[in-house]
Amino acid sequence: MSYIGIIITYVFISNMILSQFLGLCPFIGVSKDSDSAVGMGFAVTFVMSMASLVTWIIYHGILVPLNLEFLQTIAFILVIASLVQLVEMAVQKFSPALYKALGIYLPLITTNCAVMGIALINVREEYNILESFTAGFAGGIGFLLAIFLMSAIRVKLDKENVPRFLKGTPIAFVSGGLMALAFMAFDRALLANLIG
Amino acid sequence: MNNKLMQMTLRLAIICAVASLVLGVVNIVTEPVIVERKRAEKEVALKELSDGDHVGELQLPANSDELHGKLSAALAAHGVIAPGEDFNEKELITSIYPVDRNGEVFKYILQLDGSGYGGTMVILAVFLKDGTFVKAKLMENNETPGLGKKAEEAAYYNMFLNTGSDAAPLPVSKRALSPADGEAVSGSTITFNGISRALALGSDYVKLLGGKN
Amino acid sequence: MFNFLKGLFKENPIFVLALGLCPTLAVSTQVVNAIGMGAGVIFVLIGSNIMVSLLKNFIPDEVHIPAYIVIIASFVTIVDMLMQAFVPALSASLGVFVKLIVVNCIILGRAEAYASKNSVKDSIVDALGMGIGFTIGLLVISLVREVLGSGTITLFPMGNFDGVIEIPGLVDAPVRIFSLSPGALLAMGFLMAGFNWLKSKKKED
Repeated sequence: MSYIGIIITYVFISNMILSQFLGLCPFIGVSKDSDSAVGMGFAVTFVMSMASLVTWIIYHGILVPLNLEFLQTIAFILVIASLVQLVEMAVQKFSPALYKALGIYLPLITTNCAVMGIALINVREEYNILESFTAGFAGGIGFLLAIFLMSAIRVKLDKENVPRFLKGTPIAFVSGGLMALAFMAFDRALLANLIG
Repeated sequence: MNNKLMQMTLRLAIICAVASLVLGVVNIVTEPVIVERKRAEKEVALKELSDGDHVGELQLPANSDELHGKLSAALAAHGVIAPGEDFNEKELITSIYPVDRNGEVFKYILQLDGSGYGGTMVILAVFLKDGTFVKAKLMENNETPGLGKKAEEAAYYNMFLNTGSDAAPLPVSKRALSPADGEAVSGSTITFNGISRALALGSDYVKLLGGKN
Repeated sequence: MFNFLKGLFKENPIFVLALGLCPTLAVSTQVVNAIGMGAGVIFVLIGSNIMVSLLKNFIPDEVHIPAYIVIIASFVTIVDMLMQAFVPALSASLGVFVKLIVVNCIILGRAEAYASKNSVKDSIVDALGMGIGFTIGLLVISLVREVLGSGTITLFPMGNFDGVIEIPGLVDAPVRIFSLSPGALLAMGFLMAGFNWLKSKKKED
């Protein structure tokens, strides 16, 4: 698949959150205001791109030649955890302002399904290293888009008169469902028509 | 301080080592089972698809520019690919099994990769040597239950029956189907496109083999 | 006993704590998937809780998260390999979500919050309660989604029974949207609201 195809696929058609349910916890948990949602989105995008790159190298450079594919899960999660740790330290050292904005979200990314998910999807789809990176980046942007839209909706929802039992998380899910419905318009058929 | 760091690293390393060891042992136990199961699954599918005729040895698509050129032309003519579009049959046709009766090859079973809604679908399909579609079976796939998953049923392939020869091209778009069949695949167009394109490729490829073993 | 029951209702991991949501929604298209996923999570949860509780004095505090992750990932890989070998159909329909149990917040959460501070026996009880609570939540969602979205209930094939119960009326004209992704989110939202209502009713009694 072409790189543009991969980008369109992971931003819109197979949106991490709205169509694959990866990264749903922060989508509901960190979408209460737009600033933190955007911060989380950028942090996830960065980690997803880097993780795609590094896990590709680990998988095809170490695990496959040594016939150790069964260590995939354990290797990937350790890579992601250390990557998040590294990013946290680097950001803290070089950009205290960014660290202040992102700091609290960074550790949460380790258990973000989207990061692990994209690493596993890259293996399943047999992407090469550049395609993996593109997919990781696009997946992150898709995540950013969804969580930003969600936060904008939730800010409005706070002012609305929501039935008592639906208040908070339940109405967030219902709104997410309606968003996913809208995203269904982005179909693989659309991709086929766009780039053939 | 240094001592503490050493001890910390050591303990973490021990945990990792023990974990890898345990996984290695489990892998030794389960891997032969997985390999054997996949082989048996494919054997059963091949037996079912060959209708009791003898299935020959596995072959792979030939590395031939001439064949590739002819295949491209045929596919473009049948509307499977756009003119000038490139594709790689060696990635899409993953195995070829000739089926013979009394030593004469009269059918082929092809393992094809199609692109469906949930990623790659593996299709095993049978063609007569003139390219006529006989039957197919959807193997590994991630299609949506109730929609694309319908392609796992044998009846799904009735709409392709008796097509694929030069006289009757295989339907590769919903418009080429009868209204009833078109209705049946609505809601799972992506799956249909993936399967029909894979089948059309298989059909055109088989024609070029021309009954050779 | 109280520890066991709290996971089922009062602290239900899915409806109340909203943990482990990715697998919940992604695999809940068929009841059989929910059962398989639930079994996998219970296995990993019990295994990791036992190990974490046993090793609580061995694991250095500073690196406890990586250590827990290694333990959890090992059990996840074991489940993944066993499923591929012995229940391949289930393994195929759960796809990458078996491996994604590793990032299921419930498991790391229980290791951190409970097993690292309690005895092995209590940790097993806690794992069972949370695991079964998770499975029940998963079952409810998948039941709603499969019945409405496909008009069927898919269980294990046994003998003459092919494992699929068809619901008359719905099977011919199902509400397709429920088997697609938006339906999952909608179903989840309304089920959570229902759970809130049940809880408030219980409080009033």
